[in-house]
Amino acid sequence: MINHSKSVILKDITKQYIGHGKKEEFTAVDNISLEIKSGEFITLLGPSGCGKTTTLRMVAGFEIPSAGDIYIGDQKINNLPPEKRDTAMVFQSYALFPHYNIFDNVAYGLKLKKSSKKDIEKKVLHILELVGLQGLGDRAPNQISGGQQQRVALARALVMEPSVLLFDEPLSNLDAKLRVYMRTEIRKIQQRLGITSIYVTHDQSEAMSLSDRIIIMNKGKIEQIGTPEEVYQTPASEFVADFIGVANLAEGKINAVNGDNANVEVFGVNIDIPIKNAKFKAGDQVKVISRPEGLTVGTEGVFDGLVKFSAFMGSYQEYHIDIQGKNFIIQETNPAGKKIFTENERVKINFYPNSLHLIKA
Amino acid sequence: MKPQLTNSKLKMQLIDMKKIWRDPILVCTIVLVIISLLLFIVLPLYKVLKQSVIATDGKLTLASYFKILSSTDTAKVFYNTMLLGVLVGVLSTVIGFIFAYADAYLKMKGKKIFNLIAILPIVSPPFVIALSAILLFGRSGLITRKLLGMTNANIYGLKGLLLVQTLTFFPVAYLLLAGLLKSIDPSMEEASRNMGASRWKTFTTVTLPLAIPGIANSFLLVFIQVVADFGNPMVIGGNFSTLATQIYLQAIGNYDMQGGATLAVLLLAVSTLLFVLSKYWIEKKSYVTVTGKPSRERGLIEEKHIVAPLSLFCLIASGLVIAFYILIPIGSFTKLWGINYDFTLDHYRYAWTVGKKAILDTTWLSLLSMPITGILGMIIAFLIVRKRFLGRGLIEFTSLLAMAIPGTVIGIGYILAYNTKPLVLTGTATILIIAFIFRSLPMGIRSGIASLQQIDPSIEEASADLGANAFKTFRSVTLPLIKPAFFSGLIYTFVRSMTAVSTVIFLVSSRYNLLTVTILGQVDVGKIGVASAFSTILILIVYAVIGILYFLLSKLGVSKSDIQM
Repeated sequence: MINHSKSVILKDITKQYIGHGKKEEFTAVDNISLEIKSGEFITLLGPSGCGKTTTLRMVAGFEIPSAGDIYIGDQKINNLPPEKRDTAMVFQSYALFPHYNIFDNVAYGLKLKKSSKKDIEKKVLHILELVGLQGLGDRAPNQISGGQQQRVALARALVMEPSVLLFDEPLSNLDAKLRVYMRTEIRKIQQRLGITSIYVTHDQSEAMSLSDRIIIMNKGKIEQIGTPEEVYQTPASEFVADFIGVANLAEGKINAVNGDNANVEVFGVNIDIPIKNAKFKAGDQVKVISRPEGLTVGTEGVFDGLVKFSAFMGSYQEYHIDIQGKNFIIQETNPAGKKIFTENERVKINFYPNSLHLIKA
Repeated sequence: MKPQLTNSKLKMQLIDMKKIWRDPILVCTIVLVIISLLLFIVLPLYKVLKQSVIATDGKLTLASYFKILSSTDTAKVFYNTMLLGVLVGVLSTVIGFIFAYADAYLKMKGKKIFNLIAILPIVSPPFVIALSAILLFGRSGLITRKLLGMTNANIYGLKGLLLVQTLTFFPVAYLLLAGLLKSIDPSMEEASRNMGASRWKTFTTVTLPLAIPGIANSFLLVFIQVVADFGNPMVIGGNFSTLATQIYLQAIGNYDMQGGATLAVLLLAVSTLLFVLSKYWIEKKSYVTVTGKPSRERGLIEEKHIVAPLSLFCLIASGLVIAFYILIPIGSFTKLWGINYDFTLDHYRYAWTVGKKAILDTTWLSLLSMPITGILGMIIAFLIVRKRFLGRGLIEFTSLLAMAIPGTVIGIGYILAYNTKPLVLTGTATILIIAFIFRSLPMGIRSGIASLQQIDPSIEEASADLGANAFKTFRSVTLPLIKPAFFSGLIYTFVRSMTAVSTVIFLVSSRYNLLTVTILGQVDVGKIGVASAFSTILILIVYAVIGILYFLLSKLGVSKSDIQM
């Protein structure tokens, strides 16, 4: 397979719809800009209605931006119809042609390109083998399982050797186990072929395991762009912190800033927290974010808390701790060798270095 | 910087239109569709309206309306029409509901007959039952004269029409209500029984309330068809005039185009109002989605005291309907009905001599309009469901409205619009084909829309994404997937064209006469035997063509079950 991979650039893209029956329009995508490098795997992640699918469909050409430009490689493609764009999409519903067999489904796009018969056969068989469907070419789409249908959809897109692969929640119709298996398969194939990929999902674990970078969207806007580690460990906003994983929030106030560190007052205690992706000055109101595995429960620590709930979960002990009226979720890993606290016990809370993160209030 | 956004709705639509502009074939198709709908649906209606309000001196006036509305004759005709609509509407809905309930709820034999009953009125000329009613109850009727010895029996008028139209139209109600009752999720009724309700209580508190919107809808649909019905009132109406027949008599019989046009506007107003009521009010109230699949199959009722009376009723009614249809071929082979029941082929010989051209013309004109309507219907359905463009609302509304337009109204409209330059079409085969096409089109569009809505749009998007243009996608993906709707559209168009009467009676000429109009002429001069022979020939042609079509399709690999009537 030849790699035709290209970069994708979205510049100030906005998409508005005419509301149904309503006079005013609805802004699905609100002035977003984005650069995807050639060969990169990026995920658009967000709750439903955040504009991620609309963004993907604008790249494919099914929607036309109300404002802004889209480039694939050096070419501006705003006015190119879908069939002239070098993109291939894997649809949420797979969208297999029910009146064609598997082979003809995969061969459809190649036939339109007027490739030679021999060439088509060679490519289709190769791709079917790549996705593990060798020998099933004669079956009809309704004669194979959901997981296999998903692979046909993937094969049909891959065989086009597109500059950009687009995925619209392709795994959401599979059961949990198959979903995990298929996402590793997709990642492996994508890395082997090195095709630029844009993947839409609302499943954070899917996004984490697949992507080079994650783009978190909310209400048509981009909240944060970053590697999976960055968006988890240093979320740029309360929304991101809350959407990816579990976040504990506490209010704080900056006492002083010393280079990359800030001295912050939290629950009446002064602590030093590193500054990552925002600027602060003394006197600023901030939010301090911690993850359940970044805090510890013990007899010594910085904050006083009261155990409200305690449960053994196997690999960790889960606590809900009340600190001055705020609920904190803490997961104490490897609980076997540690003291276990029960409800209504008074405890001390401590934190691992580098596990606290500051955002603007 | 936020880009300067256009806030006007039109501008946004124009941006959406860009998607369409990228494809020149699509643009041409849309323009052609809009032009043809304007020319052959909107323009004729406009001409009717114009004719009714423009006086001979060219001034705008409502005089014609005052004249018509103040005349006691018109009041009587209007009253007749409404009375007939209500009575037949109620009767048909009640009988249709019993049939539908038996079909959906009862464990009984002979349900297959129901299908036949439902299809018979569709594949026969609209006045066949009226014809056999005359054979049974007329002056020399089998029952009235032969059995009861009456010499002055009079089936003509309201009672004849009630009988004939109810038998003709209750299958419409049956089909609609059967679809609805079958889509009610049985678990709702089971929940009711489970909480202690009896079968009767469940019927009155769950089943019936769920069916109410459907019942109202079937009443309205039957009502619309009754007031638009032309054939039956012509054959058996006698002195009982209805709006549909009065339009024809006024315009063609009395050469009073303005009077005809005014009555036509009146009839159109009634039909449109009822149609809008059905479409936008009742269908909104529907609890049951017609396409929704029930979770499980319903356990059918087996109790004797419920099954026995209902199935007896259905079987007797079915037998009656079938008897009415069988009477026609029998009548066509009978020497002189009521007097001499000897076998003869005379009626066929006579029919062939006087009507050979009409038979052949009707057949080939219908065959010609068949593929045009089929393809046009699918294209319009595709545009309505899948594309967004300026004028889409117009296309959808016009093609929907066309369903409610009574045939006589469009017939008089065609005369008014195409009798003078720039487009003179009256007297030609073209106008007949156009009439056939635009009378069948709305139904084709509707079934196309219904089947397109079942198909995931991303299947077509996938095709575009892989490099197919709009035409290629329509041909290789959309059309194969809506094949069943397409083929049933073909059959429907052929049958509908063969049996059309209300519109084409205005458009036939000495050069092109049609079978149905010829039959009406024979009835008019009292040659019931010849009329029966013509009707039998018509039904045979319809069956032959459907048979050939099925055969050809099976050669093409389309199974019979792919086609629903």
